[in-house]
Amino acid sequence: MEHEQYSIQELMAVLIAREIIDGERVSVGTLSPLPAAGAWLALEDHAPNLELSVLGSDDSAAISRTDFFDAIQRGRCDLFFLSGAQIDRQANINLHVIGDYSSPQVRLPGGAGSGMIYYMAGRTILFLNRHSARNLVEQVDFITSAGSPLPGVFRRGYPSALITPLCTMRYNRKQAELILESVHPGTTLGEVKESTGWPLSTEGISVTVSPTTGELALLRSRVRAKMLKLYPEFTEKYIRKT
Amino acid sequence: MAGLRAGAMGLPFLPARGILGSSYMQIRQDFKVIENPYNGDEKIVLVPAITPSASVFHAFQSDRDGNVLADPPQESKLLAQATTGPVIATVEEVVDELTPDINSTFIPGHLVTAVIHAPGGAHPTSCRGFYRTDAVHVQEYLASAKCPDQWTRYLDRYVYQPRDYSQYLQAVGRVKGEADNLGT
Repeated sequence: MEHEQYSIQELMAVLIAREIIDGERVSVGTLSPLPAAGAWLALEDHAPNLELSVLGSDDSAAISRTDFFDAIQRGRCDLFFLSGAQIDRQANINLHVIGDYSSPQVRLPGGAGSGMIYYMAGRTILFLNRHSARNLVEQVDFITSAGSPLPGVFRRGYPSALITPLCTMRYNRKQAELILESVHPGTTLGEVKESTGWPLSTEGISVTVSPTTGELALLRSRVRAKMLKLYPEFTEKYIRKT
Repeated sequence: MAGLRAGAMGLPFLPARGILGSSYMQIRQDFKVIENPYNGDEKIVLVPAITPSASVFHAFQSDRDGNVLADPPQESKLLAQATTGPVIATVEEVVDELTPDINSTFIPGHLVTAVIHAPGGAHPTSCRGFYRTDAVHVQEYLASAKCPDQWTRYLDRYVYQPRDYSQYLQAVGRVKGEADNLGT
């Protein structure tokens, strides 16, 4: 898993950065070191006109959670990031329970607004710190927030992509399904298939483009300095020094 | 959040975006779906007001009139507004004059029934500007929660044996009254 040139977290941060389009209004929630690193990298790299708010950092400390949720409901957020204890084929996310709701094996913290944000952000990039058949499942045990549309329900945005330590998947709205797009260098297709709880189509897949030296240099200098303030332990562990 | 805001606004319910299509609708029989009366093509969820009979929250500062400075997310203020009975604030410090900054939420004294001076009161979680999360203690809690024997020992040591909060802080290795020592 560990590459000589970069950590898997550095790769994922770079992949998140590449998803971000210049000029977008991007919000990063709490407990999201990978999206924070990715968004800051995009800002430094190819998206200088981002309107970026990283919750918990100096530049957004004065935003209250109610103001933040209201702004998202009004359509002021083009891109948000979510994760889940489980994510399924239809991009439903589960932040509630593993097992049956009335007698769960594991009780999780809950949605914390994701039940609304997933519908109201312009689009959402999903990320997972681990990729296994236990957390990428055919069907989640509890739908905290639904990935796919429901007739008659106002919805502004949809899942965009899922980035895991092994691969990138793209959400296909027509099929209402996450489709394998690329397999990360150092990972085999077999490994991705084995670690995913539903059968994957391999049509048109490619190998993920590795981080460039330029991306890594920015990540390990300017982005690292910002990350150290907000996520010191994560940064020390996963983002190398130049 | 919508429920708490309805409570704070003195309204019986609020409409809320999202939620439809999720499993909330199976576990929350009290969530209702209506047709948007202003747009019949749209279905929307109603969330009933949350109106606690009493509430307790931790905050940074209070003055002698019970005015309180709390965390920026504003949930504490919403909670105080939504509560029908006593509202109790535990605070890091009681001061003659509050020192608000751009990040603090002001909760006026008329919303607060009682203030308790409890430095370290957010332990093992963090209190911004005072101390960080006690990651070592959280790890101990997580490890203990996995095994009934260890859990009993955890409860004895940190919940049942300490007779007051200062003894709790001693048990977890934090000394009461010295705010600097609470930092990591």
